[in-house]
Amino acid sequence: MDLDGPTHAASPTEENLARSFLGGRGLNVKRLWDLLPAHTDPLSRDNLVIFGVGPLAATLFPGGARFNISSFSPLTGILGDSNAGGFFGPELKYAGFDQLMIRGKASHPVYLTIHDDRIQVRDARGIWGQDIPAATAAIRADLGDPDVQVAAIGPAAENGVLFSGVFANLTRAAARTGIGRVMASKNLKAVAVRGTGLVRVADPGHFAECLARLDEKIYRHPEFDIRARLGSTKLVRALNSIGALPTRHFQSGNFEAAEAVSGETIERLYKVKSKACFACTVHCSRFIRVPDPRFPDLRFEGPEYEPLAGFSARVGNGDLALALHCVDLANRYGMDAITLSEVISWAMECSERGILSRAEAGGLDLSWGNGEAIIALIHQIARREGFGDVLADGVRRAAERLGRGSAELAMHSKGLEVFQADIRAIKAYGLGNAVSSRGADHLRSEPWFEFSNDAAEGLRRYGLPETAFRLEYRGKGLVVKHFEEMAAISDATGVCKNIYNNMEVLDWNETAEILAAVTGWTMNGQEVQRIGERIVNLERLFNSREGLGRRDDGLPKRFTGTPLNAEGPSRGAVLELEPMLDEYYAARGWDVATGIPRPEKIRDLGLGG
Amino acid sequence: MTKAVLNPIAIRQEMCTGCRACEIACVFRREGAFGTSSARVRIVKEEAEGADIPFLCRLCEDPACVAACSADALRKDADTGIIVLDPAACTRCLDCRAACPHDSVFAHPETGLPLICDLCQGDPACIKRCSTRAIRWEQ
Repeated sequence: MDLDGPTHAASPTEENLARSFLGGRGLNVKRLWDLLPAHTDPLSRDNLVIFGVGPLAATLFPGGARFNISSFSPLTGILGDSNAGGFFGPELKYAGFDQLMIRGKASHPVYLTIHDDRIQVRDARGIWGQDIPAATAAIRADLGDPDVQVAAIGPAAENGVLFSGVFANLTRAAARTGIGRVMASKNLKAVAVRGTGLVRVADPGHFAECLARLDEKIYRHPEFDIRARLGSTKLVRALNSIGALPTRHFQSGNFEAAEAVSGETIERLYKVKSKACFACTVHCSRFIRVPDPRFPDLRFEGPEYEPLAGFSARVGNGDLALALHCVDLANRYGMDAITLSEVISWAMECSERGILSRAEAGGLDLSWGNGEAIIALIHQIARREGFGDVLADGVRRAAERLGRGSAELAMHSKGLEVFQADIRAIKAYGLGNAVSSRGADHLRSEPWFEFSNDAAEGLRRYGLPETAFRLEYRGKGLVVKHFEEMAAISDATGVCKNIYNNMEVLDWNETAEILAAVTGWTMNGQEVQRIGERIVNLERLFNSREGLGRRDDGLPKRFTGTPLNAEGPSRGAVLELEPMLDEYYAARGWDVATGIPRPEKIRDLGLGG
Repeated sequence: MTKAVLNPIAIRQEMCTGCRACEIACVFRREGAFGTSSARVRIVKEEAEGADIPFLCRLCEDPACVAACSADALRKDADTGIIVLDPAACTRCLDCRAACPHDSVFAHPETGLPLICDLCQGDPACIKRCSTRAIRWEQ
């Protein structure tokens, strides 16, 4: 779709590319690599926004609900990429599409509709400025079809917030790296999809057999019950108990009010029922109602752990209803809640340390947990008003503007803000954040194995028993390599990482088997692993074309130089980043000095030329 | 008013997660492919309210769909209680859909035939797939 015309054209996905990159995140980065020159201005009409869906999405694979959006990121300037569940991805597939690539800029606000093979550009001037729920409802009403799936941007994107996301089903956020802002720069408010077709698979009988075995594994998984009850919100209690809950902007790993803001407390006080993404049997999501007179009509699907911890422990707030109100505001405005909670908690720490004056903060009292100031900042950021205008560009740029040593407190890598865990206490996650191709992020690897404490399995898998323990750093290069490739397969096939990575329900061979049932390709486990490796390597090449290398695989000094303030075994931990990087690059076959893939690795993966 | 005394399927709306696996399982059983538009069970979602409402055949004792059919294309099987469609006799008028008191007759997007649930001949794919047993056999 070229919004300059507007003109559009459709063509079949090339089978050789699908075999090499599958779809979703893999095929998306291949398109960006092939179609966009280095240093493309993220907010220019040349930049692409690509929606991609993988081959397992829209099937009965539990959690086969995901879509991936990819672009040059306006927040980080490098590879931008984000992924969400809900119902949008499968609907795009039922409409007959694996990918939707959008370039150009419409002359006025528009939204795109796809109804099977009928594609239209429609006037969005009437809904520009509306928040995510209002815009979604308006589009469904406009099209007269409540079953239309909508991926929309909110007012934050329109107002120029660089960490704005794309939201489906109101709260399913593809919000990392700011691709909502890219959509806004194209005057594109939303994509609305209705698909009435069928997705045919090569061997339905074999797929059903694979599915039956997968169901068995999921229902018998030791974590099934807690995931089905609490979803990711289980992590507030879990991370607090190991001293890794980022409290007051990573100044402590324990939050005194953790219980009050835990997933268990939400379940007890506010949970209405379990919710699930498309075709998912784990139903890790929840619908909540919060009967608090301060926040009338507060009800939504969620929260996930990330925004919950972001608006509680990270900003020093023990008021659960207030935290949930903040989550709701972030979703309505359409912002990345991880980045949003970072810029607010960073400002609070700057204020605490006397780097930022009250006058500079627009008169706000940025004491830890001050709900009024937190809420005011969210509104100001979304509207780019007052001090919010400084924070709306993300923490790296905000620190550049403020100066005075505040950059040392900015918790990001490659310009993307760190998630809600203290990575000094979970070292594979630390390494994963450092080398992640979209900047600091856990979802590029999710190396849960370091929580297993299973020394024998560590020895079997990676040749090192230490790999099974979160506070050990040796062997984590091997663990991260493995889990990065799993995460890439998860994002490229269109399935959920909670199931594929964190519950580890399929090994490489089993993945190959179910992919074969869907695609008809003869494929073995080693080939699947190599697709994951190929995607990770291409993303590294993409970023090295932008000038990045080992020196950019850094983390804030707090993680590598300041001992963790926490109770229990995590106390005093620091991240041994440099030896971990050495080990990781060696495991990857990359140049250890530069962190760039060696020519023989590039050739071996078929990425040359 | 039609009574649903046989009612072998119980719906517990508050347990429905809205995942729509029942729809996809229904289509997969019939077509050997994945989709939702020819499903005989539907989940209507009101996202802002978090409501997920299952619609499926209740096997009414005195089925309004059968009574409404002027082409004698629908009958209720005396032994099983399942509603059976004769596609050759069906005129695609969809009076059955209009008559259904549970709004649970849908139309096939391509053939135009009413999508009459036959309970997968006694082994419904939708019930099998429901992870919270929001739809299940009446105990």
